[in-house]
Amino acid sequence: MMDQELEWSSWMRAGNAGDNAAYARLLASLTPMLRGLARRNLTRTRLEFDLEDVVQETLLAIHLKRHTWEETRPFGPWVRAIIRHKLVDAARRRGFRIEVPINDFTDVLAAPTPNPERSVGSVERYLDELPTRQKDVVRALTLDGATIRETASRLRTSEGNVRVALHRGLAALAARIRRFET
Amino acid sequence: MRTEDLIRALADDSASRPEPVARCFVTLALAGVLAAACVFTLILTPRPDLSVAIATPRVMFKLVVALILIGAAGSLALRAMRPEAQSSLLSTLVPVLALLGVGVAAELIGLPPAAWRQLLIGSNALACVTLLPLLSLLPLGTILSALRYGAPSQPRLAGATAGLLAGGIGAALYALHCPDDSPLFVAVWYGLSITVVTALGAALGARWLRW
Repeated sequence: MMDQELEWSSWMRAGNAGDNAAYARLLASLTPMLRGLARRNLTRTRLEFDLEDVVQETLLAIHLKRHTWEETRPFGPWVRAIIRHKLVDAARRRGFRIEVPINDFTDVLAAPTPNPERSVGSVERYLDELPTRQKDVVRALTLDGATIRETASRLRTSEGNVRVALHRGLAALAARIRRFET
Repeated sequence: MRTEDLIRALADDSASRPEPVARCFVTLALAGVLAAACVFTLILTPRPDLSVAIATPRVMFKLVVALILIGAAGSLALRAMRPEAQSSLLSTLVPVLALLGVGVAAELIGLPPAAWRQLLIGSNALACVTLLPLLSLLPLGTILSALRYGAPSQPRLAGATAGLLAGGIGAALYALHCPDDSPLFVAVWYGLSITVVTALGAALGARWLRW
């Protein structure tokens, strides 16, 4: 686990310094662990959870709060704290109180990934509630797999505007998710 | 949406290098102090004998207790910005309450019981419990804003910490105006006012500091 954490730390640091590929690698590497933890902690509730929704909400939270990680501190406790918070939050919003033990992370086997073939998922559904510009940009960059440059030319605007719309759109998505309760 | 699609967009959202939490917190906390000081100058005046009174032990005691509260609550609030930080409100309160306890004890021992009641009532307790929280409101707002930028793992507790800090700021400012110097008065009426601000902070934190 320590080696894994050191690797994550270095990717996070690289991401902070501008290496987008390292940051993407970090998020992809965290994903199987997130799936395993979501499965372990949420299926106990015997409620139908779309686990992949929770995984995506957690990745979004890790992204939006990444500035709260201080590079001099260990990465593991930080990311685990965020994951715990989001798992509890995901359960609470669906009407459940759960507790995630701090030590729950030590032997999570990476869930064998098949990323479930999914139809829509809640993150995509909330997209529709965003203001038009943000919705178009986030849609283009996620569902359509476009780059920032391609999106800028498709929407006839500058790359700078696209970046701003993406940034705001992601924050707005998180706010929508927060407000939604089943 | 597939998770790898989301990850790609998250990686694209890296243009803005986000501000470090400590700098954001200090900036907003100072802005709160400034705002409270402005409110002070608008609605209150410093006590006329301030230059003399400030050298007396009892007034210095008031200010020292307020400053210790600000320091302890401030460092706790800053810690609360990080999701992995463990927070103990008690460890913040113990030194303040201990100091206050010493002051109160010294007062009660040093003066006859007949005098206690008057010291406790003071000249205007009502002014204290309305004006001190009033002075604390803008700092509470700015400090809660700072905490929103962070990732507090316990929103209600973080809000309470913000309330304690804001209350301490309000107390320090109010002490410049307030003519009642008895530790007994301070413990009860400043204590009550700060508790009100803390409770308000907790209530607001529970709603605003979720992420």
